[in-house]
Amino acid sequence: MKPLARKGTIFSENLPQEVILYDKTSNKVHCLSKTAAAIWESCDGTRTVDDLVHIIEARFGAPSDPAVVLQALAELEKAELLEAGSVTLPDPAFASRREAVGKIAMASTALVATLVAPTPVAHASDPKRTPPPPPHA
Amino acid sequence: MFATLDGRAVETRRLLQLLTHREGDTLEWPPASAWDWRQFAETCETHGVTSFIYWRLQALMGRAVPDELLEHLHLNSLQICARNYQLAKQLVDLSSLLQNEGISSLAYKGPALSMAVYGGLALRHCSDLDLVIRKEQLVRAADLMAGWNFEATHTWGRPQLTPYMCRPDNPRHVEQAKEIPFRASDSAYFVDLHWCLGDRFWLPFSPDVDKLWERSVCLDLPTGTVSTLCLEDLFLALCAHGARHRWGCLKWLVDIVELLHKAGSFNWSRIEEMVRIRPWAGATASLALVLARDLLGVAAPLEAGKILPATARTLAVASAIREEILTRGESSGNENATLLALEGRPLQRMKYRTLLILRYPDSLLREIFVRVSPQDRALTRLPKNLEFLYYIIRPVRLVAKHCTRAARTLWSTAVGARLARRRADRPITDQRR
Repeated sequence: MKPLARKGTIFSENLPQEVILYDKTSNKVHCLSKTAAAIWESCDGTRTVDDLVHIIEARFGAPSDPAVVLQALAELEKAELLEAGSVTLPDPAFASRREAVGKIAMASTALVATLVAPTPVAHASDPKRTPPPPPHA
Repeated sequence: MFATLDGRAVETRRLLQLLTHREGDTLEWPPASAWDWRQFAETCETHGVTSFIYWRLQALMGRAVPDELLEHLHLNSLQICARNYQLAKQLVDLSSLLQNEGISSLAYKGPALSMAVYGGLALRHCSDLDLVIRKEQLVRAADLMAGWNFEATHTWGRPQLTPYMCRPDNPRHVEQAKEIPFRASDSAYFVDLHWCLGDRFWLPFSPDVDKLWERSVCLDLPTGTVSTLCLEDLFLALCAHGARHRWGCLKWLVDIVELLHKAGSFNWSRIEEMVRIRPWAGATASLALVLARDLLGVAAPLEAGKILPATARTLAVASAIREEILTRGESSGNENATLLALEGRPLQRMKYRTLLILRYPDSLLREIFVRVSPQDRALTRLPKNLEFLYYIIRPVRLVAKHCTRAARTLWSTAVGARLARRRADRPITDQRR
């Protein structure tokens, strides 16, 4: 399996601890942890899961669990940030890993979150929406 | 909600401390058990800096920042980010629609400002969309907006009493006002269509809107491309906007600071030319620089200090605003107090005050008879059982104050006019001395 990131229609914004990805096609906004963002950036269609693990280890200076990389890929795929089909090739090792990932994912936090805009009531108290006061005495 | 005004002031000071924090500085946080972090979160929301503060707080992880506060700010920041991207899409779509109808528009503040100044859409809370259009295209633009199911929601004047008065095809309204707010059909956001950057009394404090077009630039948003103000016009427009609202929202001051980080890209000779034509625009810019220094600890660039020097009048206004924010947690938000204190045209000031009084008589009655200000209390200290007398003292004090001021103004204007006439009537040989 050599996952390939969709980058042509994705706008990325780097923040101190996270990366925001805006998908122009679907008009969705995703928030990625630094680990997930590094994995997404490295998915160029030539790297295997093991390659990605080594990249993460080199980037963050700590041993990386392949299960985390697989979890990130699963979440990136679900968010449609990877090219369709680039993570669906049968991989005998992947099946057992997927089972392991499933167990881990239940206990771990999401690496990729799709953001939802709040309901339109927050700006009702915008001070601009009220007339200016009379002279302040 | 805050239990006391002091609570709001304390949290605002904490917020300012965080905004001025530099690497290596010590930052004192109260122990979690002795502090309601919700008040701080509410202060961040009030001042529109939730996202900015969250990303800054992340650098302090490991210190005494409650996890619940970080989680709350994080969630809010992500929601703000999602909404900002949504607004950016609406902005690009609306600009394109207007362009297709032959109406040029300049994106102002909101997502355009966020992209131009912060380099992205995640760090700044955008509440609505602002577009500047040419005055002669206003009527057509308003009709098109109505056709696209935007509802005009006039906030200037009394539209419910005089609906015709506040229409874009009423030349008098166009001359006096500066914008028409429109509400989207799903009420998800507002779009303010501006044809000026200040209403009639604020006009001298804002950049010349006719010149904005020849200096406009293209801006790439994640959602498309729009035309927007150049950095220099944006700087002056933001300074005027902040002054108009008496810098009641710290987000606006943070915008100025972030914009000043790009000061190396400014064409300072252009700014110098602009403030030469509109000196009062220079006054509001000078005020912004003083507040950025006093509240956020950011020194003005060298060129700014030469072109936008702070006068005694500016420093006095800045000091008053600073004290309001530090002691009450917010400025009074009184636009005309800032306006009137920055300029030296007493007759214009009287005229403006009179106009506002006539327009909002009920607010004036509330202001005089229902409110007691610190100045009233400072006049004389009354015991608790006699504090009701402040409601009598206040109107008397206000009448005396304003009558004295009006008399002084008229006298100085009359004397000034007489001196000017004498000078004009003096023989030429005398004038040359």
